[in-house]
Amino acid sequence: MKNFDLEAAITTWKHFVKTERTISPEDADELEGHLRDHLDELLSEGVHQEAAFERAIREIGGQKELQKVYRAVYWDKVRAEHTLLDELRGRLELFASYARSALRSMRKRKSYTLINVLGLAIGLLCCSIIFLFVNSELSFDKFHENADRIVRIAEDLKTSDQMLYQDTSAPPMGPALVSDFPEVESMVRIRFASRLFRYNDNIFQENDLFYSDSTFFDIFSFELLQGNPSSALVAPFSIVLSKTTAEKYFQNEDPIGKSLVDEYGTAYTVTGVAADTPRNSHIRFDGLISNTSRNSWDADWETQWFANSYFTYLLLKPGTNRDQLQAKIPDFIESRIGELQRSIGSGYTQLPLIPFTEIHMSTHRSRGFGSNGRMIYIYIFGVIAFFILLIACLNFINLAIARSAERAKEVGLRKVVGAQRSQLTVQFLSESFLVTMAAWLLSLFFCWLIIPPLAGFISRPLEMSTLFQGNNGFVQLALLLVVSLLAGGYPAFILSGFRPIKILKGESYLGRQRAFFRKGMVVFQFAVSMILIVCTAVVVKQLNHLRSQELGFTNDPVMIVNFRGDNEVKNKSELIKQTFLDQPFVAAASMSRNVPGTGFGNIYSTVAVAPDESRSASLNYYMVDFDFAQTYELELLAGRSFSQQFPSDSLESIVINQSMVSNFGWASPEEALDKVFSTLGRDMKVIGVVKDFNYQSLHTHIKPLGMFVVPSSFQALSLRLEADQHPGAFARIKAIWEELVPHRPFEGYFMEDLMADQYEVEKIFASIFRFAAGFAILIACMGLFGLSAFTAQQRTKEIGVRKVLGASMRQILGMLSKDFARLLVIAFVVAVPIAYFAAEGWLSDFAYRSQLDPWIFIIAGLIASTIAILTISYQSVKAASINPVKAIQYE
Amino acid sequence: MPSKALTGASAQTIVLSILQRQESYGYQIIKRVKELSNGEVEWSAGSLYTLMHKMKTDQLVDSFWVEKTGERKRRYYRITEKGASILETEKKAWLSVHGIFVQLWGLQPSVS
Repeated sequence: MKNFDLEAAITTWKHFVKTERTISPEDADELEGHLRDHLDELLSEGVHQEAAFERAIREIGGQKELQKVYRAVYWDKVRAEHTLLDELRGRLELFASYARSALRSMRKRKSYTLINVLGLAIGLLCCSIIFLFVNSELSFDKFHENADRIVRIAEDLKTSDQMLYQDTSAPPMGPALVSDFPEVESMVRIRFASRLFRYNDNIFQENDLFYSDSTFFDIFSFELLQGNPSSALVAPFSIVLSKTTAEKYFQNEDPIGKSLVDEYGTAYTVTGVAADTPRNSHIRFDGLISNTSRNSWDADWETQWFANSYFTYLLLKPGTNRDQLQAKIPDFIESRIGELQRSIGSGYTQLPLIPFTEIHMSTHRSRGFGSNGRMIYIYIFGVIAFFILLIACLNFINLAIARSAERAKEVGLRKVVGAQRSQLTVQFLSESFLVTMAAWLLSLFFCWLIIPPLAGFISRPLEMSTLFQGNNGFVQLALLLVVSLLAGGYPAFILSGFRPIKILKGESYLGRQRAFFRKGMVVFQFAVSMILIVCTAVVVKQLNHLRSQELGFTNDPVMIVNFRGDNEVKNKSELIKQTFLDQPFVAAASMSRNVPGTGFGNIYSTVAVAPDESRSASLNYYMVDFDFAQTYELELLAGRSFSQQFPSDSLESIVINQSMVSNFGWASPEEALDKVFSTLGRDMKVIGVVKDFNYQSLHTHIKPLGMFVVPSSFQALSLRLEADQHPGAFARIKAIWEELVPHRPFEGYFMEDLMADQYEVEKIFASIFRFAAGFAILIACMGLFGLSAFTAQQRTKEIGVRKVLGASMRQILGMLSKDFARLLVIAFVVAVPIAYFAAEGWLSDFAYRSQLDPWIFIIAGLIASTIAILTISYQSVKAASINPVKAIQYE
Repeated sequence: MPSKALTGASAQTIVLSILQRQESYGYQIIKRVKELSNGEVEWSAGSLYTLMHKMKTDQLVDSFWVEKTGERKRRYYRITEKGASILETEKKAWLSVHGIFVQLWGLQPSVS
């Protein structure tokens, strides 16, 4: 209150008088006249304006006193006269007046308002995004009408030497369960398929196809736009296409009854068109082929109890207890295939029934499909969003407290003219509500900008409209209120509690306790920022660690051309390989069924581990050609690789990896040579042992693997390129391929990209952390900026005096930064152990993990501190360079 | 300083007496009372205005807004006929009380 504004004081006082309902506007005018008469008299006596105002108010009474006397006389009458409408209007006017004064206060301090609004907006934005993400993760597969009655069968399979946990199941399981258990209403089995389809001139490779039973549309609620849901998939060679896929082939024609011809010359009749699958479905298909089609080339597929290529879903009758059904499964297995299992020495111990809606969030077993969510990431993201919002709220509180010196006078004045504590609380809360509201609107705008690219980036169906669907609108409202209360509550209750007498006497309003609280909040904010920086660094480092892992095969670029077992390609495989080898930039070429980073086969085999001992084992295998080891530059530890010089290699030889050697307990790679693996009707002698190479992903350790030659199984061509010929190679390979194989679209990619795709989740995780850490430190620094501005401002006079007394600029900077520096050190000490345990926990999930380097912590601390110090310095330098004469005159 | 009871009992009559001489507004009435009592009697705004309101309801006074040049707008009060007749009755009552005290305390009778 540099200058006491008498008119403003009178207006404020009158405003409060008017809020009292028993005082009519005429009465208020009369009271105002009275007050002014009294003031005139006091002023003419030479009393100072401010003192005069106080005395006049004391005599006439504040709102509270006036209310008391007026109510005593008028109450009954007023109550009779005032209608509810008047009452409401009065309340509304009151709120409008709070809003006006809130806006005025916000305008007056633009930078603080900006810090608060922007900080809260970013915090709310993070919350909204995480909310949408969590919502989309948890909504997976819930749109099916029968969702809570559907289960998927998994398999626990015990072999002689290990337990296999699979998501897939054998084809006879489903029908057998339906016939044996009355509580199982029906079942559907689906299996991956891919085809090169042609309709007239439209040729496309379709990789998202399933074989399916005819019950598909009865059990699931996927919408069938055309066709009969119960009969579309009954007849052999029927196909149901998704809308987009159908349009791709048939454009505007009616697809029903038309045929798609595959690469084997088989024609499939379109019997239905389904709506495109929602993104929050783990089953996503472009087409469904009737299971009965398989009968023509694999007549007994339905009787193979140990073929595990189907996903079987059961529809249970309403009210079925899953646990009770689960308990009966072992007996079911025994009665159906007990003897068979004993005769081959391995078998199913249980068929876990996985609830349909839990599939997305549960850990995939062996061969799961569809995008997989992880609950742990949901928790982590939730915690991050909460902390960012909390940091923003703390800014609000901190700045409000820092500014309370300024606001205290306003509060004092308002109290002197008769405002009650409750009114002031409401006023401050409306201020914080307004700020939060503005921040919320801003965050929605940010959301609108950021959601579409983000949804693509993390390949999840994020829709902004979800924020207001159903009860979510209330969640938003609740968030708004909670944040207003959280951010505005503390300042509101503290500030409104100021005693005017103390303020007017100039006593300190910021006690030691409050200073401690304020410092605690700064420590908290920076500790969180540092933790997030450490986590970002750890995630990024781990990603680099994975990428730089020695994969055990060639470091040169490898290009894969997938032809999906196309017979025409297989028939001229040697010609194709040779054509590419003639190119100067191709160093080696190989055809195989499997390539690193994709899948591998698994089959039962008998292994003669010693002359008189044989064991049955589940064998992971690669089907390759003679040049595979040479193309991937696999290192031989013993024996030799496949060679054209040994014609028997194509049927009687197997190359195994090092892990296989230790798995069977052989002393050395040499000892493994000549051991015999029997499977697929072949007896294969070990001719060579290669060093382990990473054929899955670096999430897991390398498992035993066998490789043998099966040309009929080839799916892909691998081309090792000369290291320095990389650019432009892609286009040239594509051109050559299209000349050699004109009928099949080119599907080529680099090994490097394929490997990188395996760390998609980690990459997303890393970028989210990067954003979170960035946002956290940004908000924390905005708060620090405001706070340091305030500290500097409060000490303007002190700085002036010090300068006059000869303090250098550096000393003053030191003085201003010292307090904050101390807080940063404490924040660092708090952050290190928490960050350490968090990082350790996450890293322990990886088979190949990077080490936690102490430097990560130190650098994180330095980054946060540097940014913080820079933020503070701006204000400090400004304060320190002020002309001392002006500084001393300040106030 | 007169007791609260006495202030309560006399306030209405004092206001009526002032208004009978000259119409007046709230602040002036309080000031006038203060002057007449040499600063002994100081009414608060709240109590005066509620009293004025009550008297208006009883139709002893009525009020009107006046804006004189060079002065602020003020609400003036003036005595009604009913107020004047009440005042006459009150005057007699107060004078008789006054007479009792004069005789008891041996004072010179005087009427202001």
